[in-house]
Amino acid sequence: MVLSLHTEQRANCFRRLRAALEPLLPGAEVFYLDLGGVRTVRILACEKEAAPMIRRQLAWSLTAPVPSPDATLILWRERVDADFHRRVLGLDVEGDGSGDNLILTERKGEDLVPFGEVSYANRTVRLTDGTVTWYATERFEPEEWIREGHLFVHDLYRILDTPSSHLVHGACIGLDGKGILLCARGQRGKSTLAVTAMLRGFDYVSDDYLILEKSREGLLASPIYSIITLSPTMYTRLYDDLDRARFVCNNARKDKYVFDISGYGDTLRRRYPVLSCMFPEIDPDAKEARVEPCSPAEKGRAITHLVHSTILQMQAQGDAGTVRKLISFLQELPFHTIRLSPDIYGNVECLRTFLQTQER
Amino acid sequence: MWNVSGRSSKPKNDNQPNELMESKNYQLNEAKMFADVTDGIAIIINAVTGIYYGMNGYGTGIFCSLLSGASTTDVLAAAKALPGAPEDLEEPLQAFLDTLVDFDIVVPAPVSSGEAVLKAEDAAFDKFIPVCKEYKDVQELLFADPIHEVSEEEGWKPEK
Repeated sequence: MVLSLHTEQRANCFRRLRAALEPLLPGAEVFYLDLGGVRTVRILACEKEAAPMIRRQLAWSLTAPVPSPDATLILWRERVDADFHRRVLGLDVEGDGSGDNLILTERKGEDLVPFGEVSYANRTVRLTDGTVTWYATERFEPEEWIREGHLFVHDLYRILDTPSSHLVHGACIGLDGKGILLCARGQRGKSTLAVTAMLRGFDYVSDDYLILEKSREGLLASPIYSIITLSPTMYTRLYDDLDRARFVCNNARKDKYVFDISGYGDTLRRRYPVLSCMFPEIDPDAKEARVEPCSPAEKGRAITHLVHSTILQMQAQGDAGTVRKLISFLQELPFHTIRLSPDIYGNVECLRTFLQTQER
Repeated sequence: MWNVSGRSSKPKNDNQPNELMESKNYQLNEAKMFADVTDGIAIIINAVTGIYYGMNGYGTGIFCSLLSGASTTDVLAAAKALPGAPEDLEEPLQAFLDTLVDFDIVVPAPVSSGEAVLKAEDAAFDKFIPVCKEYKDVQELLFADPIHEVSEEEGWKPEK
């Protein structure tokens, strides 16, 4: 259900919310994130059970206190039942709040500008007022923190949307300062290639979500999360090498394992130069991997995958300007296809050989 | 709730001469367009404007056939050969092709040969009406289900 509020009704929602949370804030644990040098974020965790998950998932972004963070996330425990919007926000809405989500919007002329969502199914609430986001959930099991993607990923996506930066769904690895951005939707071998490369000594940025920044030095990639997700099959294949990874939980669909890889910090790179993009194609019949330049059509597919996958994963508003920005980040880079064989370590060596021939 | 703008390729009723009698070939307008087909659904992005385009399953089959070198008459013949094909196949197909050209998704190509491959189940599900829809906000594309939300009477229903 979409609820359209006038400006005063919206303001009243936030007044009630602030009043309800005021007693909790003095006891909140405070974390600071440095997101690739692009944005800083303060997290106020009003529920102590949240702290371990913040440390596990965001270890590579945690930083010392920042005087003026760009955004604030306030996290608290709340019963998100059918009466939440009445009880906490003072909204008298028809319906019992079961089933569908409640999307809160502010009417501005002809437009409805969304500022919040109550998910009765996931039992979560997210409300945004300028640079402050309030996030509530009633369940604090580890699986809940991966249900909607990685922790706070939707919020960080919005915070990182600047003229020169964006959060994208992709992987980045490299050698000797020569980074490769892997552009692909899920189930195309992107994450496995990135993790296997990390285990074989490559520089590592991310296997899933990362920050892209268009800077004077070129396109730079930075990590956000210190977790990876692996299918049980891939976990079994990588088991011997994953000695520094710690199991966290299953993902929400229970089809992958989530691991804390903060123990691999020596491989981690921030603001890492992206010199080319690569489009993985799994070829189950291939005896060995090979890298080939992309045709214009393949380059188009790769960019479409990255853009569409990013917006799909975020379920975000992807206006034409956002799409143009992402394309402008990538369009001038060289694109290659890597045909992945079933030999996951052979694939990494193929990538190593390719990178060794590339000029920085 | 989200504003949708753009055109869909519902059949035109403007008594234009039927151009399908003339065989034409088309190719992706690679100067502007990026395209991908996953799970039988085409997603196209205009790199210049940032506008997205989505197709239903039947439209995707036609689009892929054209890109693989099939001519418009090859596509028409393949559609006519499908079980349950209606008499008035040409008009919606021409409207679809006009839309692809109007959106700059395809441009004329040299004469070539290629096989037109259309799935009977997609055509039947989409009632033999290929659809290409423009989305200025990608959110609309995510809310829209290109397979299940199109209907002959109402066209696209992006809001779920």
